[in-house]
Amino acid sequence: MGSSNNNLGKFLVGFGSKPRPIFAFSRPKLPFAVSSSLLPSSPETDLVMASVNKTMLLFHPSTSNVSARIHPVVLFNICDCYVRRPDQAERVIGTLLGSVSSEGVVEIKNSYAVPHNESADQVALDIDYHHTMYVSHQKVNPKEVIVGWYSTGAGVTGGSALIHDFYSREVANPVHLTVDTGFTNGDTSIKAYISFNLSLGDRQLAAQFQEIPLDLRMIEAERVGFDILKMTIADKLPNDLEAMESTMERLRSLIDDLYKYVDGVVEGRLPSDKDIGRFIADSLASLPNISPAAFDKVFNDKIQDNYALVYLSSLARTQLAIAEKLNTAAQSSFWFCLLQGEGWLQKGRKTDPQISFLNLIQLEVYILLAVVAIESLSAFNITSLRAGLALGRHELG
Amino acid sequence: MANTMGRSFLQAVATEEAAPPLRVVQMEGLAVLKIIKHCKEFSPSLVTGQLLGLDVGSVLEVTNCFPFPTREEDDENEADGANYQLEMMRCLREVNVDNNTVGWYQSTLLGSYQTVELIETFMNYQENIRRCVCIIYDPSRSNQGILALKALKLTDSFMDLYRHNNFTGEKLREKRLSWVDIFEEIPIKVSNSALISAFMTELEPESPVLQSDLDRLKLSTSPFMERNLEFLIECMDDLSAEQNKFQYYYRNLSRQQAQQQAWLQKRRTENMARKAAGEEPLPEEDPSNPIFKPIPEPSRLDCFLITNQVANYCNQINGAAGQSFSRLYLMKALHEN
Repeated sequence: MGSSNNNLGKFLVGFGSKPRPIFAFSRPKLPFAVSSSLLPSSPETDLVMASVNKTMLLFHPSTSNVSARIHPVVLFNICDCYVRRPDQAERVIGTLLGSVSSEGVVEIKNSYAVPHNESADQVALDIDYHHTMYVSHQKVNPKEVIVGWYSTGAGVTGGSALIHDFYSREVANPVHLTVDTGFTNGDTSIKAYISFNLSLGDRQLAAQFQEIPLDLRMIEAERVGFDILKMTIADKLPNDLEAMESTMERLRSLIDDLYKYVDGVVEGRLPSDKDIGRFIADSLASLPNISPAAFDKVFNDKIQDNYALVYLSSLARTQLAIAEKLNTAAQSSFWFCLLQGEGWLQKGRKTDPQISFLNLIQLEVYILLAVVAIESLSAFNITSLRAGLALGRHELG
Repeated sequence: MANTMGRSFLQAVATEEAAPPLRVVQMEGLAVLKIIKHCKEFSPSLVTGQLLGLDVGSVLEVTNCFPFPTREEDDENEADGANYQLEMMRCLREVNVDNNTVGWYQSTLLGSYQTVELIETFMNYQENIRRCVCIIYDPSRSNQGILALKALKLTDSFMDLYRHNNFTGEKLREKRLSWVDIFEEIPIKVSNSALISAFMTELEPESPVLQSDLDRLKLSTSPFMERNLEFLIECMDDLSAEQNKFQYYYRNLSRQQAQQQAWLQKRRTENMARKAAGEEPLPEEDPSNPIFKPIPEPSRLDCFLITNQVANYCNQINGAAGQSFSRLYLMKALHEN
């Protein structure tokens, strides 16, 4: 337990003066600029803050094409890390892994937490830990590279600039993701930022964080189903047919809604909308127009195919049940009776008294049924079984 | 440190005494998503990973997991893999993730996971941890909107038998063990922290149609069915090969027994003659004679596993056919409208 603290402090940066926002850019509440006077990367260690607003405004870059997409596993991981954070820790931070597409979309696919220590004027990040974890993750999936870092809490805070600077040495233009685990504003705020260095000439003045669009649609989560991801406890996984039922229910309610809307428009209760109308027409047109006879044929063929499959699989299962009975319970006795004659059968029956005459009859009916169709699947041990049964019947009769 | 170790040892002793049967595997949503992500990204190649969590009474909690790198057949890499595992465990412990191994997960293709390797891995794990499960995920089925997640463990009676490596017909009959009794499926519960639950409730999309609905309503199932049947037929062939092995064995056995009888008969007449001549009779048993050497009975393990597989394919076909029935009738109803 105590050993974890020893690793800290390998990366120590501090800043003497308190960070303060300098000015706001066009996006009203997002931009946040932090003075970073002691950035370890910059050779000039002691910079005076400049107050020439005009010059800085020139640095407002065009970044409209950068956006981020988040995989649900990242969100889950961040929340889990937050729940498991050490005592007294205000927030957790960690590394984001993923890929950057050519269009500038940053896909955040994975993450891991990195232990850190934060006090009023310094931030310590366990760099060793970060690197070991990164190497481990690379072993599993070399395609996932560092794309940025995350932190819990609302928005960007003072220490963020320093951590961001560290990550910008790992990767160019890291993304900073903040997840408001405290629900400070009463709603979920998950935001992504990129940062720019504002400098005057050679002198670095501040880092500015600008929010970028974040795509929160989680197709992967939809695939798993919100039913089980939303509940604090879900008693069971939905099985095939239940899931199907809920889907159909949803489809039906959609069609009902559609009816209601169309009726409303026709009766003049609702305003008509050309776009919606076009959508409805499109989706109706996407139903293939086949004659009833042709449809019936296709439908019946499909149904019959399915019946055949179900039949085959049930048959195979029946066959397994029989084989199991005869194999484990009676195989030795039956084989001996086949090969050694009737004396052996007597003996075999003594050891397996549960095989009664009735059972045998029943089994044979099954087997005769099975023989017909199973031939297409595979020649089982049917012939041998039949021979055994015939002999057994002869004996009992 | 010593304190916690002492306690965990006490706990271990306590569980040793009580050890209620494992009833439920409770998975954290995070673990579910991580497994799915890993399995899906590498599909169709099969991958594995480790499950971390806690063993609480009759519930096994799986709170986290981490993937194993894809293995290459190399001795050097084996040590690498072990190192990776240790490193990962150490790192995760540092951020307060549960540090107990509770099993492993693996992906599968159409549910073909019943192999001897799986059983061997199970036995390996079982040696180190008393209670473990294997989570099996089938990425190929998720494209149909099905969450194919399964928790398996070996039954105690089977493990007992496997340890003694005794798969003769007689032994199996004695234990009343059939192929159904190899694996035991344990129901899975999914739990999430309140925080996640809040986030997901907020983030649930407004749109009434989810991706899984669209997947489920896809009409074409034939590729899935075809592959399933293909595998089924393959399994059937394997099964009949196994049967042939047994037939061969029994034929040999009976031939040997006939030979033994003949030899005995001969020896008896000989002895009769010797008795009449007043000589000492020869012994009725001759261990040096090759016809008295017992023929080894083939193991039934393979046969059992294949049977399991066949049953699994049958279930899958039935399930998929059931779905396709409902889809087809839905389509019909739509058309009639």
